[in-house]
Amino acid sequence: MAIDAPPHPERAPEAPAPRSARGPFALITVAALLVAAVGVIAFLRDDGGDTRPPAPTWRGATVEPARSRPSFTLTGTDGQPYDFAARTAGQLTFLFFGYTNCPDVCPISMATLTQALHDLPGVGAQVVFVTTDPSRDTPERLQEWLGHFEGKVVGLTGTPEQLAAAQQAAGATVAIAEQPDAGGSYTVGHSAAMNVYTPDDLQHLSYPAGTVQSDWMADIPRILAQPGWNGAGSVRVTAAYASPGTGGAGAAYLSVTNTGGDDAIVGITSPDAAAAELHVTSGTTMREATELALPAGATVQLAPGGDHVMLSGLTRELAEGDTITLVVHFREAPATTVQAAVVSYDDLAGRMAQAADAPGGGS
Amino acid sequence: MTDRVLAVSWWCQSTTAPWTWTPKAYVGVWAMVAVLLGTYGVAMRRRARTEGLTSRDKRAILWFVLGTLALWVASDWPLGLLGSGYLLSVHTTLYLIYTMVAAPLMVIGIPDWMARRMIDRVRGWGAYRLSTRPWFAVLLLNGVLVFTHIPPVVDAFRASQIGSFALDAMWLVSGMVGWLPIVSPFRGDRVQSPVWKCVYLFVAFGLFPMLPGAFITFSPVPLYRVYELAPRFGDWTPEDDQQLAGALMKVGNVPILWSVIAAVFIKSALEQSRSEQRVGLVDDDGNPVAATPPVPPTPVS
Repeated sequence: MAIDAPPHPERAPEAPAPRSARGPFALITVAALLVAAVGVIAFLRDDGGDTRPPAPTWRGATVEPARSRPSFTLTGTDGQPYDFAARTAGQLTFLFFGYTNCPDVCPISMATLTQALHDLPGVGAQVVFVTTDPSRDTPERLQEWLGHFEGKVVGLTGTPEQLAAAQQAAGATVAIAEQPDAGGSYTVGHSAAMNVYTPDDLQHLSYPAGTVQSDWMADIPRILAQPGWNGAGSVRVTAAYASPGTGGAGAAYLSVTNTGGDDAIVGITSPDAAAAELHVTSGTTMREATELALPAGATVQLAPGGDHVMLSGLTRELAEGDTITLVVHFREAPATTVQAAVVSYDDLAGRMAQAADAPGGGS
Repeated sequence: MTDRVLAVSWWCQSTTAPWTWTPKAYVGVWAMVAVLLGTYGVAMRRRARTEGLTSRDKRAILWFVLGTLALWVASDWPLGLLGSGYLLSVHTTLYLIYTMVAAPLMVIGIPDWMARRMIDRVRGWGAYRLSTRPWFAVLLLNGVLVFTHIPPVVDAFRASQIGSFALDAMWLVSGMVGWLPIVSPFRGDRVQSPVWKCVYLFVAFGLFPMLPGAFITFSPVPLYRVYELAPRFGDWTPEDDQQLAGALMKVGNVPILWSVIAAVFIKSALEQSRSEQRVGLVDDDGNPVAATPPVPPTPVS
């Protein structure tokens, strides 16, 4: 815009500085503006680059080896038992441990995820919120609070022991309530991660607090399209339990479903035990095996009185309510980490039978 | 961040603390206001003692104080904190206050003698001359507007007190530069033509902000992490907040901008009318007066 101002008596005195003095200023300013413009263009290109191949990295943290979908049963907002592994088996599932009085992380994490799922039509997913503050989060309170978010969110509660076991089963740090203040108000320290279970019933990814809606919208379609994660042709550990261990030894039991081609369990390791051996039983004899066949389409159970995992050199005594980490190695499928809940020997047979009857062989 | 830490804060920044209506003290904001008013007051006092204050100087004091008050309101609790860490719509409102209210009032509040002294002191005549050029002012004002609304920039700057201060300072300086071609302390450096003034105002303050405003309004996802992850303010979702912010950026300046444009036109019309009256082309009611031929002198017999 060229504007010629006529001479005016109140015009500022002509610049006493030589022209070169304002040259660098103009140059620097224009350069800064150009840099800003390039930044804007770069940002816009990045935001709208849907046609480019997906980036090789995830917005969340990868879980390696992948963890199995955890097994726990809590109480839903309708007062009915909710078997997490069975009710969510084979589905993309988001699991979060938090509490409704949480001032920041919980409402924000839930809002960003549920809004993203709402904006991604056609994505079928289960969102499960497990309270870490059962004394204040009654089923009614949970239902009312979860109603603020887009879509359906399953709210679960239970006894403190049940909730602690559920967190351990999911590999989360067990939440701790802080001391109440003078007004009786308190906060709860809890895991802020959003655990993502894919249709292959494994957890490959964990998303930290601070994951925003655009992160979810970028990653969820890629998660569902990820080869091997969509449940087709995969091996799933649908139940894992252990018996109380004494004298440094114990046993673990698994239910494994193979919906793909022939495969085999080729080993089991545990950070909680010096050794974990596959023991197969034939009649009255028991022997150590180097592998256990997983025929295509079959569910194989290592159950009390039959095949099992022999644990020795346990790093701690295993008591009811504990969990122990097992890593199951397959010949074809990727290794899977599971948290085996320690239950009494009397309960083991019933739990494993329940796992065999569940949809998809899940517990 | 706890209340105790906030109580000794210097400048507003983003925070993870839930919003409360408990006032917080920001000493940097108070210091800035005190320095601005203090130095201005000292300069005016000296002028009054040496040469006396003109009526224009006295009006300038009022404008400067109003501008500084606007700056204070925008920077301090609660608006400053809400805009820095909770609501994008308030962030946008702060931008409007800085550039459309505080900046022009402060520039109008600086008399020419004071401006001359300030520019002399910093040897800034080159920068000043450049800033009065409309093309440069448009470029700087809107360059800063765009740059300070790039999501990663906002997220990074709002995360610290220094960054947040820098963002606010950029807004104020760019706003002052943006208004210089219209209200420069040196009247001769202002755009003279009323039509060009209106064109400049529309382009500088009305046209360009529509682009980032539209971008923000129609984005399908929240753009700014700092506001998306901020503790919730009432029942507002980040999407609602962002849409309001975009709308504010697009049309929030309309009342001020068009009031100024209207004022420019009215003032121009009044001046033209007075000028025509002076040369006798219109009567006191504004009606054209027919030119009367000069009366020949009556011959004296």
